[in-house]
Amino acid sequence: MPLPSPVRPLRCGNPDCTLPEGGRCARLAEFAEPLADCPDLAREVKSTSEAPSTTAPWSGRHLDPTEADRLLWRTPARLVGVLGPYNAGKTCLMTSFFLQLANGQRGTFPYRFASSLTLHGFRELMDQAGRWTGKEEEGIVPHTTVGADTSKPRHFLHVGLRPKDALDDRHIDLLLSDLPGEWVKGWTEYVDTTATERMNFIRRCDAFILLADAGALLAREGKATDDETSILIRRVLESTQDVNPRPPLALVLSKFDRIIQSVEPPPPEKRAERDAWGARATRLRLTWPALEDARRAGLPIEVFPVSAFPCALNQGQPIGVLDPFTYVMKHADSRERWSPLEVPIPEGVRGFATLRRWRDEHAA
Amino acid sequence: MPRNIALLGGQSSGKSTLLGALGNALKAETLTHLRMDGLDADARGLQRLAQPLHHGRYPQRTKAGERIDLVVPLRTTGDYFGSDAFTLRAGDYDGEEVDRLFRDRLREWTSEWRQRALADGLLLLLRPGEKTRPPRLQSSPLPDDMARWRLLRERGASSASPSEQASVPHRSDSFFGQIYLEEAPPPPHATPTDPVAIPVELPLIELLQFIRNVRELPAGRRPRKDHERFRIALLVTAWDAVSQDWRKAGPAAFLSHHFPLLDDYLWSNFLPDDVFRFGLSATGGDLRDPDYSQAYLDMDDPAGFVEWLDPLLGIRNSRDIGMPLYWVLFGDRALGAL
Repeated sequence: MPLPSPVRPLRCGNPDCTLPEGGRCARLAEFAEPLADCPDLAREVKSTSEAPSTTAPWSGRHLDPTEADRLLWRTPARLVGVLGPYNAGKTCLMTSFFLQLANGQRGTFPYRFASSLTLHGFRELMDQAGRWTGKEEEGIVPHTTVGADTSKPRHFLHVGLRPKDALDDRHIDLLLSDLPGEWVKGWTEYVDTTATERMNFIRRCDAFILLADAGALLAREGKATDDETSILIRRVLESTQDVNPRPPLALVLSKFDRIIQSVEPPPPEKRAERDAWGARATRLRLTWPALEDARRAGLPIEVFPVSAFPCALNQGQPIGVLDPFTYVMKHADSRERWSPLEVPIPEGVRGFATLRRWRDEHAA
Repeated sequence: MPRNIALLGGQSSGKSTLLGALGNALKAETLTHLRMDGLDADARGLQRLAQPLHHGRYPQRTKAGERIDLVVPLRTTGDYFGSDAFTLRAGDYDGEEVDRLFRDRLREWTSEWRQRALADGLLLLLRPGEKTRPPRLQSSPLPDDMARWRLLRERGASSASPSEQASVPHRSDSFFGQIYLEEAPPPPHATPTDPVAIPVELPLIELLQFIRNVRELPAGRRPRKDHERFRIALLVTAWDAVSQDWRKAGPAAFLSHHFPLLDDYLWSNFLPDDVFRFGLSATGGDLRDPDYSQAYLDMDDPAGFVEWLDPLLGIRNSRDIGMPLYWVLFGDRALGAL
C-alpha cells in the first residue's frame, strides 16, 4: 500500500537524513524514491473526523508485533528473545532489569535510559512486584497470559538506550520479548504454522536470553527441566542456523537464591565451563551438550546465575540481573570503533583553507 | 507572539503555591527583574492562587478536572536583561491530571496538553517524597556478585533478617568533596540490603515523551538545531524541608539520586545547556506549622528562596523566586542576575 504524501516542508525523523535541507535520504540504498517510500519521512495523517483527537500518541502497554516491527525498521534497533518455559522468571527478569535502570544501578551496563514506549506496561509490573511480601508461594508479577485476542498479542517491552560513551551519539531501541511460557514450550516441541506465526520474530533476534529455573533444574527431580532447557537451546540453534553474525546466547539460571545454600556459583569467568559447576553439573546432562553444540555452531555462550527478586523490594537488591543484558548487548551491539580523528591545529591558524594549506605544506 | 512558559508537575508538587507566591511577588514588585505590564482582563486565576498566602495558608489544591489559566503580561525592568515584554501563561491544573494522562491515554491527551507541549520553556516541578535517601559515599566499589552470593548464603545460614544489616549513611562532604561538577555524579552503588525503589517519575517522563512527540523530536535525539531547542528548569519544591546535607550537595545531585530515571532521560534527550536544576521554597518554610505561618505573615520581605549549584562558585541562594523564570527565558545569563 502506498504511503501517504510527505508533509511539506519535509521533515524526517532519521537524524542522519539531510533530505529536508536539500541533501540525501539516509536510507537511499533501501528506498530509491524516498519521497514515496521512506518510512522515516513525516507524512500526512488523514483524520477521520474534524474533532481533535484526545488519544495519546501511544498506549504505553506492551507492543504488538506490528508496532515492534515498525520499531525494528528504525536504526539502530536490537531485538532480544527472552525465552523460557512457564514460570521460569522471564517477566521477573525484565521487571528487575528495568528497576535496576530506574534506581541508577547500571553497574557495568554501558547505556543510560533514553525512552520507552511501554512505560505503562513496566509500571504495572513494578507495582505488582512492589506488593510482593517475599513469600515463595506468592506470585511476584502476573504470569504472562496468552490473552483473548491472539491475532495481535502484545508481547514486547521496549527500552530506548543511549550509550554512556560520549562519542557514541546513537539511540538504540531495545525490544524484549515477553511471551507466555506455553507458547515457548509449544514452539520448542512442535513447529507448526501457528507456532511459526507466533514466533516469527525469532529469526530477527539479535540475541537470546534463555531462562531456566535453577531450583527446578538442579533439583534431584530436575530431569524434565533439564530436558526442556536443552530442547529450547537446540530449537533456537535450529531456527537461527543461517543467521549471521551468530546471535549470542545467555543462559540464565533464575531464582538462584533458592538454591544458594547448596550451590555456590563459580567465578564469572568460569561459569560457561561444565566442570566449574562441580557435581551439580551432572544434573544438567542434556543442557550442557546442547550448549556445547551451540558453541560449536558459533554462538557466543555464557551462563549467569541470577536472582531477580531474592527478597521483597523494600528489603534488598537483586543479584546479577544486568549481567546477561550487558553480555548480549556487548555482542548484539558490537561494532568497529575508530579512535577519534586528531588533527593538529597550529597556533594562530584559523579557517579551513588556511589549515589545509598548512597541512599540505607540512605534509610535503 | 508572546512567549509562553508551561508549568508541569504531578500531584502535590507545589504548582499552585509557586504561582501564588510568584503572583504576590509581582504585585509587590519584589522580583528584581520582572514587573507586571498591565493586568489581564481575567485576573481570577492570579487572585485565587495568591490570596490564601496573605492568610498564611497554602492555596487550595486545584480540584479534579479544574484548570486555572494564569495570564500575566510582564516586562523586564530594563537593566540586566534589557527591555523585553512577554506574557507568562502558566496553566495550573489539578496534579492528578498527569497521572490520569498516564493511566487513561484514550481521553486525556487534550488540546490544552498539546498547547503546553509547544511552550517556549518548561518549569518542571518535583516534590521529594516523605523519606529521602541520605547522601552516601561515592567511592564504594562496584558490587561484586560473588560477594553478594556469599552474603546471601551466610544470611540464609544465620537466618538473619536483611533489615539487620542496614547500610551506614555518610555525609555529603565525603560524597561530593569540594569539587563542584556541572553534571551530578550517578547514585552510588547499592549495598545488598538497600531497598529497590519503584520510580515515581514515570508519568512525568511519559509526559516529556509526549511533548517531544508533539514537537517532532525523535526519541533519544538531542536537539541539533536552534528551533528544536527549549529550556527546562527542574525545580525541587519544598527545598527548605530537605536535609542540610542534601542542600549542601545541591539540587542537581539530589535529583540525580532520587530520580535517576528522569536524570537519565534528560541526559539522553536534551543538551546539558538546556536543562538546569533549582531547589525552590516558594514560602520559605512549612505553612502548616502554625508558628511558621504566623512568622510568614509578619515578614515584610518575600520569604521564598531559590538555590542552585554554580559550577564555579558552589551553592548559590537568591530570595528572588523569579530566578527559574529568568533562566527559562534568558538561559545561563540569568544566573549572573543576582
